[in-house]
Amino acid sequence: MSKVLQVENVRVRFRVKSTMQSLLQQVSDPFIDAVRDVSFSISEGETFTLVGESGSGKSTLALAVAGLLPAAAGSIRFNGDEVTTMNHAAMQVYRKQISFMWQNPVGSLSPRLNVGSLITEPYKIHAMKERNLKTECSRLLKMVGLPDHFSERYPHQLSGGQARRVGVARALALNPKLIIADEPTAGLDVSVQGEILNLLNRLQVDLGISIFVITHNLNIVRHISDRTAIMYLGRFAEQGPTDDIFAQPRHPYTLALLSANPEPDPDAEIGRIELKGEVPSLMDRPPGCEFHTRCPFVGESCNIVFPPVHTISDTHALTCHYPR
Amino acid sequence: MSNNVLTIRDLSVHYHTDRGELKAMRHINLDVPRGSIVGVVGESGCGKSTLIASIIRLLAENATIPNGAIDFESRDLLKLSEDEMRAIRGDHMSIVFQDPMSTLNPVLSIGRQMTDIQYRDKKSQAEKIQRSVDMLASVGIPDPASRLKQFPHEFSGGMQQRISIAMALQAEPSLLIADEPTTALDATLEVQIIHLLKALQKDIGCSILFISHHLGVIAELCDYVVVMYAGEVVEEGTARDVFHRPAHPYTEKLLQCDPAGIATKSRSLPTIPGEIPDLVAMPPGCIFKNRCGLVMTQCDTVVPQWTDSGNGHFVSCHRTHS
Repeated sequence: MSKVLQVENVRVRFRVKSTMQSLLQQVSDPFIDAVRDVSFSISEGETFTLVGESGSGKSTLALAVAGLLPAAAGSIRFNGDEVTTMNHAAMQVYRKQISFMWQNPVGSLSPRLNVGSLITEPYKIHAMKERNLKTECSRLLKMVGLPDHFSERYPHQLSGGQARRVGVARALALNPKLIIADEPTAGLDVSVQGEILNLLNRLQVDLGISIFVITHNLNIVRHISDRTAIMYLGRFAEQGPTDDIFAQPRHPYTLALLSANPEPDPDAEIGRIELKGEVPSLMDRPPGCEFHTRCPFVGESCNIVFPPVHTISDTHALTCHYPR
Repeated sequence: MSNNVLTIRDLSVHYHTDRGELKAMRHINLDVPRGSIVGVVGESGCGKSTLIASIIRLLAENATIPNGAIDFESRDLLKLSEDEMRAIRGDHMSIVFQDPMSTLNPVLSIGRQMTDIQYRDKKSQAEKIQRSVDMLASVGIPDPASRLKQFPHEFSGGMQQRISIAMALQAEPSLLIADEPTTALDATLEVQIIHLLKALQKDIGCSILFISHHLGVIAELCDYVVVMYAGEVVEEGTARDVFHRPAHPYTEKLLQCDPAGIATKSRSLPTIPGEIPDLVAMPPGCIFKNRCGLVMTQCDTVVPQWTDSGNGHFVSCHRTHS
């Protein structure tokens, strides 16, 4: 399988102190690293899922992949082409091949445009004048299972699930190779959540697209994704095949995340690993292993030495001194 | 004295809209036994928010209550004057809302907000501050005395929700209404908040009406479960009965839909096809018939009765009679 996207040692930084402030306060590093040294790849027709708590850098990484945030270091290659150094014209071509499904289904649709205009807007932006917008519109609506007359509706007339479908239709408009879905089921009821995930699964089988899913809902990860990465403080704690990670989580953070998931059974046996405290600030990263402040299995060297990469197989790796 | 803190009988709430009378809630019954945690489950549009608003009597202006009674500590809330109601809110019953960021006032310090809400107590300012410090400590906020001077934006989301819980429990109410208190939080924080609520509930001895659409959280936290669909309570019983022996087809389907309950990997997840009926032009008969896979002839025309299927496990479905 050929790799669609290859990300190597990517770092995304944000300036938090001005030059003057950092001089006056004698801060050596006026930046925070929202994403630090992250590497992964996505193959053709594969679903890659990124899991992590709020503030772990999931969305920042996705924006960097889409070229919407500059990467401070590292390389992002799409079908072999380097994205980080692309000029504007090359970027336009690149952006035709990837598309975004935004987190807020209704908020990402302009309230002043009807559904028909919304889902055909990509053709206008990329000046694809040869297309008949009406036929494209009904083709896209059909793909996501919405009736034709929905093209006349405005976003406020849609339910959450319908707005999601419109988001999917718009993402599909330019026949992308990669769809980045940021929290595709956030705010949806369980019965509707299944519909959207089934739709994404079906489209992937039919069209062979790759999907990059960002979520903190572990329940859905198991059912939709081929490979999963767990992110903590801008780094990947563990990365590997979804089935392996769910069957035997090796990193303590993965273990804690999986066990924190309440089951819909009052008699469920809870072998829970509860994490103490909260996620540390990016301004003040803990020394050694960055997870040691909350880790239930913290050992001697954890607070001094940065843990080595522990490889379990070609595709399964984690960063920990004491893997489970 | 009744064994229930809150008893709702035959309550309906309608909204006047341009299209006509919207029957948002119809003939619901609900009990919150003293010292227990009752979970309300339902999807969007099932009337959860209307239920809360009618209990605290803060319904929108276009709402009417054609029938029903809300019995709270042996008083019918619907018959109280606005002043009497004001004395109950925040003192005998309080709420924790979904989004802690918008619950707390961004321009006042936490300490100011926590002492302000003790306006009923005839205590000195120093005593009120001490009470606030104690409350913050009890919800697990480190170094509470110095944090009183801080403003809401200086706390993380999980901390803010802890502060909201501390404020809601400050007056030791007999009923705490929690409206999706963990939805805005991450899984690891969600677990922390659930445990905190459970521990505090034991300490204070209050009852909790816990509203959520997260079935896992309800199963873990609650003693009793109430399932709502399109403005009706369709099933009510102990958590064990409802989760292990769901009697209403909607509850059954809802449980099947939850991906957490599906152990084997599946690329095609179950859903509930169809949509909630239009509550302005209500169809006759059972409210769930258009999405139910088990319809019988009487479902089309006859509204099912609210009946006990044994041991306080109530359900409104024709199947239980046949």
